[in-house]
Amino acid sequence: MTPNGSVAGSPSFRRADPVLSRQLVDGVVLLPPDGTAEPVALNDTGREVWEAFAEGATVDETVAALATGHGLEPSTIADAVAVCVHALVARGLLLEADTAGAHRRPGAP
Amino acid sequence: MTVMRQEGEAPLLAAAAAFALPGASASPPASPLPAPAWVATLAAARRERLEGVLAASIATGAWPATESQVADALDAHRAAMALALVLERELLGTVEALERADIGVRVLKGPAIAHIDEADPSLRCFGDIDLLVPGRLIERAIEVVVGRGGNRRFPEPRPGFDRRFSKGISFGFDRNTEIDLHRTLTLGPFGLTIDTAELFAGAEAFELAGTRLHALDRPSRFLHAAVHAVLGGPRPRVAALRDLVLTAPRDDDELRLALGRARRWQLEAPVGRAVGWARDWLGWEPGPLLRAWASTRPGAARQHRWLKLYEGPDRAPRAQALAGLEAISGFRARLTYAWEVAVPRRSRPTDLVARWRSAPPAIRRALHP
Repeated sequence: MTPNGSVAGSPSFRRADPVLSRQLVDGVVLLPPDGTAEPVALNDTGREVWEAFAEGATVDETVAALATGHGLEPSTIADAVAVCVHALVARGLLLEADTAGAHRRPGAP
Repeated sequence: MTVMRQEGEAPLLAAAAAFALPGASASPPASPLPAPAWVATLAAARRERLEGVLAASIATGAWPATESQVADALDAHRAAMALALVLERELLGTVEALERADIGVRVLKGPAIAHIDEADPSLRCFGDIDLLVPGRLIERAIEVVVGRGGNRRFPEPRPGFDRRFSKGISFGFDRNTEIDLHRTLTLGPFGLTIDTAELFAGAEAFELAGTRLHALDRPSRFLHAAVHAVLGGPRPRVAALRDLVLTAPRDDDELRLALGRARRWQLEAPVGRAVGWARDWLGWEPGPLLRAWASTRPGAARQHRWLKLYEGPDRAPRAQALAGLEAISGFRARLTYAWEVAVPRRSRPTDLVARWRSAPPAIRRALHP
């Protein structure tokens, strides 16, 4: 994650754990169990992005997997995935993985 | 058996509540509802916390709907689930704070049913958090909840009333959530006959966001659903009838356990009525033993007299409170209850006169049954 918030290169992210969640007919609602954040509702596409990070993944890996799954060119979905990842990181739902295997939010000491 | 007529949107709510419910046959409409009926049904589903089953019923095609009705139902469900998560966050924070104060709790109704009894927690919506707390610890629990920003909705009538006789205490928070601390499961006499120590003793664990929580055990969840469906409002609580079916005894041993508690806690009449209502409203077929039991109009005459106090739009809350005298054991406890119900600390002199005019006959009857 770059300072301006774009997802550059291929940083690795993992889902925060635990997260409160509910499946919707057309997506999922997520909420960190701590703090005062508002719930985040993702549509089906956002849910796929969220689920892609279940075991930890880079953004590039996620874009590639989703593009393959839907028979699309990675370039056509890369921006949408980046926006989704950015929103999830900003709400503490995705954490950036460092080289030691620990996970942290961008900007955290 | 009292049969509550289904009017207005009630049959449609019942059909939604019967979604994917074992043994239930209430059917959705055969074609999409006309717009006015849909608007009324959706509003009623929100009030009854049935957005989850309605959305699921529509999504599976069981409930025919127009494109805009589908969108309405999914929007309503999304909002209900967002609220459920905010409430579950409140639940986790509150339970953690209570446990730090050495106060164990049992999670009641919504979150417990959602995570233990429903096939998917997204089917069960709820609008507040209900926690059962041992009566002897309720004052400390109140301090903990107030310390987390809870604003008590109604004052204690007299010191000690919460611990001895109250159903529970309701708190609102500035973060737009609500928590009820329960000492027992319902208002009035039926709440006072429940053995709260036995109620608390049974437990079933479930996990929420990595935290282990405890609900009532299944037989008590069944009894609670029955009590809430029948005594919780002037009309049957359809969501509670669904809870009743989901928690119904799975075998004869569990049935004996549940009905044994119903007998000891003098809940046979409301439980029998709830089983009848679940059959009438949801088209549910209970197992043969439960069906046979419910068909005998279980419960002593006194229980059926108490039941009448919970019926109708007025629901006679003062009469319920006075009937509570009959449910309390021991002369001294009755006298204390009578004094605290008849003369709350905050009464004005004119209130006291009015209360005493009607109180003595009920009190005399209860003190010398």
